[in-house]
Amino acid sequence: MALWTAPPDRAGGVWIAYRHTDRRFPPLWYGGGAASLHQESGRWHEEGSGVAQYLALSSNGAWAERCRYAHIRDDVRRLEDRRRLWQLQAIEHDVADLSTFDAYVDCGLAPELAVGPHEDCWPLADELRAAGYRGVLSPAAAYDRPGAVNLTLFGERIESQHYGAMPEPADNPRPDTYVATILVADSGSPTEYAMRHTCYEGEYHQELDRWRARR
Amino acid sequence: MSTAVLEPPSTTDELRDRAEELAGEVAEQLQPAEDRAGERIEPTADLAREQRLARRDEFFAALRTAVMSIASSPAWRAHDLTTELLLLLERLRDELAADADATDPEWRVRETLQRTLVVLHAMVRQLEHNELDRPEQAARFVAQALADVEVGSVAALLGTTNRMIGSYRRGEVGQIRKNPARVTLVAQLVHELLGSMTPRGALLWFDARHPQLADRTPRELLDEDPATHRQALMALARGGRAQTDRGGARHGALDRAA
Repeated sequence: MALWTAPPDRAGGVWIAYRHTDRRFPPLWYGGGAASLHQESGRWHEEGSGVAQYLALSSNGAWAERCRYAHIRDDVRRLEDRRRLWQLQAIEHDVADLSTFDAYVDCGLAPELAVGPHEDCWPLADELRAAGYRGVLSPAAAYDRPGAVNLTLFGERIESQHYGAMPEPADNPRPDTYVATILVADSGSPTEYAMRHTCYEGEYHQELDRWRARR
Repeated sequence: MSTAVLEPPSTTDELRDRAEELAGEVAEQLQPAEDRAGERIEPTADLAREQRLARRDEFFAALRTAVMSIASSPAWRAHDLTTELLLLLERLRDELAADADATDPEWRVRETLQRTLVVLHAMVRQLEHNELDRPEQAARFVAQALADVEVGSVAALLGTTNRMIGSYRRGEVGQIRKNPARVTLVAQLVHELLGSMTPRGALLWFDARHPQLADRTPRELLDEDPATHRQALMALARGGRAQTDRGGARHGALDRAA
């Protein structure tokens, strides 16, 4: 039986997104096979069952993810962090639009899924993949600001690195596989703003609280 | 790269050098996308086409020679990464054959080279990690990688004396009898962390409480037992490779009310 009562809307278009990485790795997950492609579990995939590309729709959203994962809560550690920050152009279709807590409810899904433990999302992720969705838009768990949304793409993607302005979407011959990228920061620290607005593990998610209070 | 027959590398250093060199050659082939877009828009004359094909054939022959050399080495012969490398070589051969103009309009040759590069980098990382499993190498690495950190802090991290750290920094490392498991684990962790933070940041990481470690610090786990906590610590350090949002938030007022 489906987890949802109504399937999520299918969104398509061009998204500008952001992502941070270790300085020694390419911006996206791909490889030559299982031996060179092993991604730890995240919200929308389980380790050993393929990969997912986690993107934020704002640069502060990406930095908040870093603060949350590394538990960076003060300037002493924040300013010693050195990550790459990438801007990406995702040209996609069949993306599940769960970008608001209302969208979760409209589909008969619990909105807590968006910000709760990762493993609670895995059955939904499996169902989305099985239904042919190529990714999902969902409220950011880490960046606790109004309208903060993450875009996650299911499966491998490969970067097409650019050094000038972001190219026209039409210049990408295979947007199903390739994502145009620009290296924004080669060795950057999370912003103070992102750190101040990070929802850390175990804390209350203020945007979810506000949304529930409004209902 | 040369197309002459290469002897299989027989030492770790040779292996790493060969893999790094090959990775560099492949990376060089991956020119900025703007350049290739230009090629697509303006099909070149026959002469340029012939030149492109010849250059490409030469590159493939050299790549094949280098890959075969690495795959023939005893260390890699039966490794999964080698299988991936060889399969990619064959895939590249197919993609080149299908690209009669050598313009790669759909970036399929490029894709195969990018995947090859990921495999080569994984091989290099594997070799680096293997090296750090030797306590003497590990001690030297930590002392030198954290050269800007005060000697006492590094000594405490490795569970040794200030004097020994001074020796390690000069490259003078004898047999490590004290805490070898701790020394190798610290080296692996520092190696991972330095892709994401400064040496001082890496030191601070050891004293930060992490929810993934049940709010304990890496140093506390190291002090308790490096062998027992190795997996958890490595997972935490490696997990920072790319953006995820591990864990969950609490659900707020209505949950409490409910």
